[in-house]
Amino acid sequence: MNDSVKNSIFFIFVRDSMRIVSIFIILFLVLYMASFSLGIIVVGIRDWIEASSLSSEAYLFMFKKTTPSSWLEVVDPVALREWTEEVLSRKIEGPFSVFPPCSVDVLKQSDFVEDVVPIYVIRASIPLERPVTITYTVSDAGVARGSSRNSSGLSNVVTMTLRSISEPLMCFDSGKFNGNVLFALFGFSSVTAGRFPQNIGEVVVSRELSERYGFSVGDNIIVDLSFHASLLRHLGVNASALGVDENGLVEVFASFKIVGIIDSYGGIIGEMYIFSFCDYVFPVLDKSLEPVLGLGGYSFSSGDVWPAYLVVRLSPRAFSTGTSLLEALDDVKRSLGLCGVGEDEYYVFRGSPLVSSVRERLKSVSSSFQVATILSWSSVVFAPLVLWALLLKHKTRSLILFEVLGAKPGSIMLSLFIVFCLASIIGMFIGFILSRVFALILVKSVLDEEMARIVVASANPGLKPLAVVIAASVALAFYITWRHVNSMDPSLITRSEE
Amino acid sequence: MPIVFARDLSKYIRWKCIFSNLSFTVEKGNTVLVVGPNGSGKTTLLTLLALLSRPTSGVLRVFNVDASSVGRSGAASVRAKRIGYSLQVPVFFENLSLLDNVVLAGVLGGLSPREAKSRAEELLDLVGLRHKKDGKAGRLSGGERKRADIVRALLKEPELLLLDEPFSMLDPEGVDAVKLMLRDYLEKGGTLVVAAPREIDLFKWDLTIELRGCSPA
Repeated sequence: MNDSVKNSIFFIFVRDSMRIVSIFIILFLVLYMASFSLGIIVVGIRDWIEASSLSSEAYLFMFKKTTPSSWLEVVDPVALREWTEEVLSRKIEGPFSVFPPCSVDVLKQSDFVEDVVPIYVIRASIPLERPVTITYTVSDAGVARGSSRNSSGLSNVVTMTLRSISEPLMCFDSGKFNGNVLFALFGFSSVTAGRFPQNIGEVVVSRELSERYGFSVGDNIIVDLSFHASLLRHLGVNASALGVDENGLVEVFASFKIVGIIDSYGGIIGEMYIFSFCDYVFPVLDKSLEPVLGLGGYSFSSGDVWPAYLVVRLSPRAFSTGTSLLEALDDVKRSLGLCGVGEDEYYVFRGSPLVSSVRERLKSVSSSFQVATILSWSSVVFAPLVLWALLLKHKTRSLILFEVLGAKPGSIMLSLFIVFCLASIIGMFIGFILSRVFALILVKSVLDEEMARIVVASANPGLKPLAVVIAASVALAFYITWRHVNSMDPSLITRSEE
Repeated sequence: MPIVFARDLSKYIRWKCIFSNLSFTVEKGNTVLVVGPNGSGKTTLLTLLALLSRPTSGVLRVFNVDASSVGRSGAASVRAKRIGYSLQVPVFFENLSLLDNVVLAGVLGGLSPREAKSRAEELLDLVGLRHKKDGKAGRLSGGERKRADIVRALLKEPELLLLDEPFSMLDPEGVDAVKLMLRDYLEKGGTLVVAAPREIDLFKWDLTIELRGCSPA
């Protein structure tokens, strides 16, 4: 078969393919809108069901940056852990309130994170009056790790990180998740040792961190949660009942057990989506947060460990998807800013309904989009293929004509395949752009523009999934085309007679 | 060496017997008429001769190529170079011009585009379609499509020409034009196989194959 013949066949199919491209685009948009609406409905129904059965409690622990110290050298770590757990348990069951610092900055995802799921960092700043020295990382063996640091110059920043549901490995439904592999749309992530957390107080750590500090499954990390007794005055609580040291600190230490080690957050392509709502959010100790948390002047590069930045026990359902997330975040800021104390470096935030509200709103909107995105991108793969199969079926007589005229099946297949790829890619690209515009317009109706952009971006599968979608589509199209061309039945020509 | 050799040829489509135990030989320059009622398998036989399908049983060799074992690419090569086939219901690439449709067949048959175009215009002129050569094939009437289809089959001057009910849609002028082309083709030594539902007084047939369904096993 010479080139002119191939070109002739290709030319014919290209001319016909314009119609296919149009159909692709229309189909994509229709399916995207339908799946988006379906996602909203599904999530809405689920929220409504769960809202009726869950309490409105929320516990929020805020941890501060850890620095090594020699404190544990004189304290039995086992005794410390037991005491810590006891105190921690007592605190959780008590009445909670917010101990706000003096000022809070809300750093939005768009300021510093590219192409990742939303991470909201609320940075609260407070002046220090004296050095900060107490924080530890130890193993079961009681060996302190890390390096010492002069804490007199330590930054007076407490960081609270809110992570959306879409952040994998941070978010599990403990009632549903039991294995050691987390499945997701585009891949899975597995623990290379141990398992994923299933209870509060359990963490997984990255391999990098594990290797750097020698962490292994079963190790405990002690995290300082101590706060200044003066903070309790605003609550009318007698701090001395909790035990106050000579510096006026109520010493609280949390023990986190390392139950697993992971290689990365993502699956084979680095991004994952999970549907489940979280009952627990577990911290993942990973240096990948450095660019986020480092903006406030922090850096992990000196060997510091940030053992836990947030542990949330969430079960409330008091939220409204129609409320602006920014407004909710502002509520947090206002609430935190009301406190006039703010002269200590230790803070424990507990039972903040405002924060849980923010989180729930974020979860709801974000998960709606993820449902929509997953459905729509699934449709991107399958709809063109179904359409393509139908077109091949209906164009059988034309294809057989080529055979009648003596064209080789390989040339026909090659032409069909190239046309499909062109049509698919053009259709997907245009459909993708239009769908983003559509999504933005839709989300802007319930959120302000800036947050709408963030939420829409959070549902963006990114280039890697797009590449996977296209590759999968092309591969399947090749298979379908190959099967079709090789199964063209010339007897179809005769059936009008027979 | 005969152009077509068939012995005990049978064809089933989805367990339905179309015909069975056909034996015949077609030599170069022969005229062959395949007759039979609707559904008797005339078109099926032509698709076998065109190497578009395989016999269920028996022996069929076309240009000494075994129809039972030849691959799709091998069959395509034989068809492209040596066989012209006009379908019972003509199929065109509807969005292409009539001329492009015919030229494409010539190019697939090994003609250069220039040669194919020149010859296509000549033949289309012969059947009264020259004025329609630049219009889309999809706009042709039934009779015009039939004439154009025969032109397309003849363009590469195949050694074996298979025509499936060539006169079914033609008006008298069309029939005369096609007859003229076919006579010219036969004078040049071509081999013609025509399928029709009844006897047609067109040529002196060297062989008539009557299809009457399957013989009892």
